[in-house]
Formats: sequence, structure tokens, C-alpha cells
Amino acid sequence: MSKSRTEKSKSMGSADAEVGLRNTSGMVNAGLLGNRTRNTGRMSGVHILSSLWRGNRRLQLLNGAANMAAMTLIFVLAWAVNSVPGVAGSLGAFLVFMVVAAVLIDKTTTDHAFIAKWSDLMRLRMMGATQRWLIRVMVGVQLPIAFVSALGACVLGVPGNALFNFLFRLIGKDAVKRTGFGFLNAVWQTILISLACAAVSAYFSGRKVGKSRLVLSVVPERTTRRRAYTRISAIIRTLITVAMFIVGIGWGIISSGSNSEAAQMGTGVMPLLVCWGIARLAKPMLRAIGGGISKRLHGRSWADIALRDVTALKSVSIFSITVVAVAVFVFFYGLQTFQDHAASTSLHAIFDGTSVMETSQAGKAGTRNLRVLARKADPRALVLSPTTQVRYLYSDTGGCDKQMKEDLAGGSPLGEGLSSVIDSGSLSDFIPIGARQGDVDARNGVVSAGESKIGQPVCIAGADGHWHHSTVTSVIRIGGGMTGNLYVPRSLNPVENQHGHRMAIIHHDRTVRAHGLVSDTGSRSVSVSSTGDVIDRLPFGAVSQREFAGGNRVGVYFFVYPILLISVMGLVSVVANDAESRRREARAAWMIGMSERQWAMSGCIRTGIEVGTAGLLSMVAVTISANLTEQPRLADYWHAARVYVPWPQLGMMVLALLIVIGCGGLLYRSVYRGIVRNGGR
Amino acid sequence: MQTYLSLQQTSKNKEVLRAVGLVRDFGFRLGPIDLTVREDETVAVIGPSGCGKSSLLRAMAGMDKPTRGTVTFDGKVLAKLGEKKLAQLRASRFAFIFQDYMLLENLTIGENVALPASIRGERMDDDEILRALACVGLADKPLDTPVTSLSGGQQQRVAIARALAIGADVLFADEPTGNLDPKARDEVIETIHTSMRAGLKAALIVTHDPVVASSADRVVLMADGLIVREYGNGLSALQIEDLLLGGRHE
Repeated sequence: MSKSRTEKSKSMGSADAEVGLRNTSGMVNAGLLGNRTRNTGRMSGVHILSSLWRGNRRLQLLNGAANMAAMTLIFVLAWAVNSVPGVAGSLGAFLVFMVVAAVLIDKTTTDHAFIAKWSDLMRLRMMGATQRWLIRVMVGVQLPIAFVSALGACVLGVPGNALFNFLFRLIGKDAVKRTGFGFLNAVWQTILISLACAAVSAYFSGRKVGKSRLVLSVVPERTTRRRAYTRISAIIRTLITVAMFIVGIGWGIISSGSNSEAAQMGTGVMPLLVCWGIARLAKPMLRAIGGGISKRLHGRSWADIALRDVTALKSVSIFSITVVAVAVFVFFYGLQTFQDHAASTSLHAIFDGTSVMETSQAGKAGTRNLRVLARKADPRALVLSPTTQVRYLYSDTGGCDKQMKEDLAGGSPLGEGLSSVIDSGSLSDFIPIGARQGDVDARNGVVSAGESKIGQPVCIAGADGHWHHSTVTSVIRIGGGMTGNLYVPRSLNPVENQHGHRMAIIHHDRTVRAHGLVSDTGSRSVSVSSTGDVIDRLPFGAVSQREFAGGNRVGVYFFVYPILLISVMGLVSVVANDAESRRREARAAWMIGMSERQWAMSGCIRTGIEVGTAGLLSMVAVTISANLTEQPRLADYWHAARVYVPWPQLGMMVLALLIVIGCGGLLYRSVYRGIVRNGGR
Repeated sequence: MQTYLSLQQTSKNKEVLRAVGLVRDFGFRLGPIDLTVREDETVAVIGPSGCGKSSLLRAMAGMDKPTRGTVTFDGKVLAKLGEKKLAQLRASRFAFIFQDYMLLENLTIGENVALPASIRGERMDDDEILRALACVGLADKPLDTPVTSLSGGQQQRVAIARALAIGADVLFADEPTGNLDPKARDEVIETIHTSMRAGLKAALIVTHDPVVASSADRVVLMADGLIVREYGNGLSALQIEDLLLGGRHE
């Protein structure tokens, strides 16, 4: 039935002759037109797709810059990881975290870049582009950008190391000595990660374009799947979301009684769950809010244009990025201050009206350097006076003298430490209830801060030259790297005993650096990095120097600020693409006499709906979830539920969101100005 | 009311495209519709706005799957073809011209004409491109001319040239002259007819323009998602305008 291509070509020629179209066929055959043309030949798919950005490469540059920001951070981490022999521990975890964040942001920006060219992509599909072809050429377009941005990231990463080392030193770690081998490894790893991110992102974007209904101007909210299937899947997703929330929050609560690692994991899972859950709620939420605002502002052209359709909700890209950024910021950073707040309040309660311990030597917080001061007249004041050095031995199995001989014969070293006299006061006044087991005020026995167990036998060398038997009567969990024992052997020192004092023999294994300390209370770790009069006077070694306070917070910077940086780059890129994709509407707006300010306002509203909704939802959700998961810790301190709202972080985030909304308006205005300059084209 | 001879299904030409019991339900209900497009036939679909003309065209072109019924091309049911096969059809057997020209604005004339071939991974010589452009009266334009520098009528002709260049069998046109002045419209009509002689087997044209519709071999009148009536090529532009204004011709 169908004519062959050659036949058609021939008939095409005869048609020329038939209608007398300037005898061009003959001209063509004679090669007369050839000198006016260039050889079009066969265009590669990448060439075709890349041409969509011809004359406006800014957006591609912006996407490349967003990718470069993420890859710079990945390069710095990869270089450090590759330079440290063996397992890189937390650095590796940071790297994984950053890679995941980079993939997500990269996917979103890529998605939006292509959606901005939706009608052109649909035209290509109408001309026979298959889904596979689209994926292939999209990957082909993105890979060179990813490659160049990875190289740029490696260049930027070299000076970036100085910042990395500075932050590392702030949190009390030695600067990572980077090697040339590590550098080379990091380069190819960064390039590989960048290419992989681009390929994955382009794959999903291509899939979306390839599966969508062939409509030129409208980006569908979903692909061509059947409605029933979508409804069922929506119900299933909602159920999964609810289940994950329950599991996540439950994990955080239940794990309070178990080990701290489980609790930390529960806490770490929460931001992810919050992000996922809020992203799932995005579409109905935005639609409702958009509808509400539209009703209120009905009749104002800039608002009507901004909210006229649901294209702002089509990909929910801006929404998703904002959720990630806000959740990470408020949760990690807010939680940090939440814990600081908890510790501070607890210590205030402890110190109120009683004596305090302080470091006697700046920068060191071993028990050797502790001293006790009575801040005011305090009948319960605990006063430690340094006395003699004593020797001790664990694991008495027979009698102390026999044990001593056997261990000395076997070459076992004796423990040795300073002794102190408790002149007055009570240890129980200084050690939080949650941090102690057994009776810390026992008149005879050992208060251990090590790995001892209550009832464990201990041999102590007495002033009379004999070894005396004693037992561990209390175990306290004191943080800050403080290990050691308070020996309270009433009968061992006749001199002190004569005066009726209890004697404390304080042993320390090592000195502890006075920053980045953690106070272990109950079974949970609580950071105490806040500055303030109180924090540097923690009992039992959880001591920080004022100048090093905030060490743990610097650790949080490693998580929070890189993610924020990548998110901001992603947001700018996505909003710019959105503004660009509305060029046609901007032309129409210009035609009807809309002012530049009104169009910018439309951009603010459009960006604001997504950014504002995502931000507010995230802030509320993560604050609630943080309070829920942190209650067990608070109960350890206060034996009561407390509510904490990280107002400074929330305020800062609101400010940042307003800035992003303003940026949206500026980007819209920039596109509009271009249109005005070109007379509406 | 004037009376005209309505179309009798006496054509001996082979069927190219056929819709049987076609229903497309997406809030608005299209159909059931039975429509056959035969070889060497130009069919114009007319009717008031929102009556389902474009939806019919999309369904006939395999862009939307019917809720019920079938559309067959070359003996094959389009709904049963996979996305890849449909894409191949669009790349080599079907051609589209829409009101907004269906051109990639950032490509040149030559690149736009060669685009389907490039997507198929084939090479198209400049001579072939020029021949196609010559058929639509654009032989004097250098191939590297940006399409945005052309007038609306010229852009539409580039789109038709592209259809010729790929050797398409069926041309689907949705309001091809909607943006054009009468002169450019006449050029496009002439070009479509030239293209029919040059290799196209059939054309399905959705239009509001009575002049365009009157140039077709057959006119299909639609209303409320249904084909109300089919007419032969005896209708004049004025009569078609009358139809569009609500009149009826028997």
C-alpha cells in the first residue's frame, strides 16, 4: 500500500514540475542551490536537544553551577576520605549523605530544566522521538555539563580544603593531612559521582517526558496511568507514610530506654521521614492553599496570573527542595540547641544555690584539675581537698595481699591516683539522678565512673602499708571522657577518719580536652556545647572552656550548611527555570500592559506558595517530631515533659524563605525586562 | 435551505485510516464515531469550538488511546501498538502541522526539515531538504535561516516540507491556518494539495476556516462530540460558513 521512500521522492520531483514551483527541483539537481547552504546532514540527538537552549545558555550554566556546588563539597570530603588510611568513619558517612543530597537536588534541577522546555520535547515526541531516544539524548546533554562542573568542583575544592580543615580543628579533630594519591582518587570519584548523578537525573526526567500524554502546552500532573491505579497507589502511599511516621517517632521514644545508638538512629531517621511525608502531602496542600489565596486575591491580575493554573504544582520541585533544606536546618540545628537548652536548664537546676566544680587548669578537664567552690554559704557544699597519691587494684579474687603478690609476680601494673578528702557536702548533690546507680553517699566503698559494676571487689593500698578490701558501691556515668574512680574508703586513712571526713581518692587515666564534651545522662548523650555561665561548670568532667564552647555545633555545620548551600543553588536554578518556562505568559502580560513590578509580584506569589508552604509545614513538623523524640531525654533530666521551640532557628528560616521568595520575584523580573527590551518577543 | 449532495461511501480507494465506534471519555465525551479516511483523500473536520475536533484528530493519530472502539492504520489497530511502534509511525508515516507550526524555534529551516530523519538516526542530504522545501515554495531560503525569521505562513510551509521530507503517508493538521492571513492561508492550502500529489496519501484537517474546509475532498461536521454529517466536495466556503453558523445542508 505504501509507496517506497524513493518512489515518493520521485513523485515529489514530478509534483514540482506539475505545479511549476520555479523549477527548483532542477536547480537542486544541478547543484545551483548548494552554494547557499551548509550541509545539514544528520544531527545527533544531543545536538538537537542542546539546541533548545540556544541563545539562552544561562539556565544551563545555572544548572551546572548548582551541580558544581554539590560536587565541590563531595570532592573535599572524598579527598579527605581517600587520604585517611583505613575506615574513614564519620567522613565516609558525611560523604554518603552528601551524595544522596546531591542526587536528589540534581534530579530536581534537571527535571525542572527539561520541564521548562516541555512543548519542544513534546514536539520531538510527535516527530517520533521514543522514550529511549529521549533518555539517551537527555543523558547525553547532561553528561558534558556534569563533567565540566565536576572538573570545576575539583578546582574549587583545593581552596575549599582550608575551610574544611578549619572546621575540623574547631570540632577538636586533627586536620586531615591530604595526600596526592588521595587527590587523584578524589578527582575521578567526583567526576564519577557527578556523571552518575547526571545520568540518574536525566534518566528519570526522560522517563517522565517519554511517558506523559502527548500534550504540547500543559505539563500533566501525572503520566498516562489509569486513574483507578493512581487512586489505589495514593492510598497505599498514604498508609505507608503514616506507618513510617509512627515507626520513626516510636523508635525515637522507645529507644530512650535502650542504648544511645538506637536513639541516635531514630533521631536521624526523623528528618528523612518528615521530608518524605511532607513531600507526599504537597499536591493537595498546595492546591488548597493556591485556591484559597486565589479567592482572596481574585481580580488582581498579578495574583490571577500566578495562580491561574496548577503549573506551579506540576513538579513540586521547589517545594521538595525547600522541605529538605528546612527540615535539615531546623531539625539538626534546632535539635542541637534543644539539647543545649535541656542541658543548660538541668544544670541551672543543679547549681542553683549549691556548690560547683570548676576546672582549675584552663583547657583541661580531667578530675585532676577539678576543684570545688562554694558559691555562697552552702551547708551542703562539697569540698574536695587533694591528699596523697594511692595505689589500687581491681579484681580481688582471694584476699588483697595474696592478689597483690600474684599480680605483681605476673607483671600486672598497679593503678595509681590522687586522693582527695571530701571536707563537707554530698556527692549526690552534684550528680544528676539519671547519671548514677547505687548509693553515691555510701560511707565506705568505691564510686566508680568507669566500666565497673556495683559490688565489684577492689583492693586499695592504705596508708598503713597494707592492702584493704573494698567494693564498688555506686557507678556514675559522667561524660566528657571522664573515666576513673572516687574511692571512699572511710576506714583506710586513720588521720582523715579521726576528723570524721570521708576521703575521696580520685583517679584519672588521662586528661580530657575541654571542648566537644558530652554529658551522659541516663543512657542518652546530651550535647552541652552552648556557651553561657553554666555550661563551663558542669559536674564531673563534662566541662567546656568558654572559648571552645560550640564545638559540637560546628559538627552540625558539616551537615547543615552544605545541604543548605546545595539547596539554595537548586532553588535558584529551579525558580530561574520556572521563570523562563513562563516566558510566553510574560509576553502576554506585557501585551495587556502589566507592569514589571506586577509580574515580579506574580513571581513572588508563585514561588511563595511552594516555598512558604513547604517551609512552614517543615518547621511545624520537625519541631513536633523533635519534641516527641526528645521527651525521653528531657524526662531523664527533669522527670517531666517539656516543650521546646527553637525560635531563633525558626526565625532565621523564615527570613531565609522570604529572601528566596524575593529572589523568585527578581528572577521573574529579569525575564520580564528581557521581554520588554526586545519589544515583547 | 440549500440542499447539497451528501457524501456517498462509494469511493473505491483503499482505506488509510479508519475509526470504528471510537469513544474517548475524559470528562468530555467524544463519540461514538465511525470515520474512514481513504487514499488520496483530504478530509476536513469542522464544527463549533469544543465539539471534539482536536480530540478526534489526536485519537485518529494515536496520540490518545480511545476508551472504546478502534482506530486502524494500514490494517493495524493503533491502540494495540506499543509506544515505540507509535513513535515510529510518527517518525515516518504520520506528519503533524498545528496552529503553532510544530517547529523547534532554535533550529534552522534545514534542521527542522531534517529533524525526524535525525531522530530516526538517518542522514538527510541537503538536496532532499531543498527538494522538500521547493515543493512548498521555499527553495529560495538558505537552509541555515532561523525559522523565527520566517512569517507564519512560511513557518507552516516548513512544517509541511518536513512532512514531505520524511515521506509521510498521512498529514494531521490542527487549525493549520489559524494564525495566517488569507494570502498565507491560500499558500498553505495549495501546499497541502501539492503535497498530496507529491506523496502524501491522505490528510485529516481540523479547521474553522471555511475556505480550507471547502478545499477538502470531504467535510465532516461535528457537534457535541459526534459526527453530525459528512459532505462531499461540493460545498463552497460560504455554505460551510453557513454550516458553522448553525445551518444545515442536506
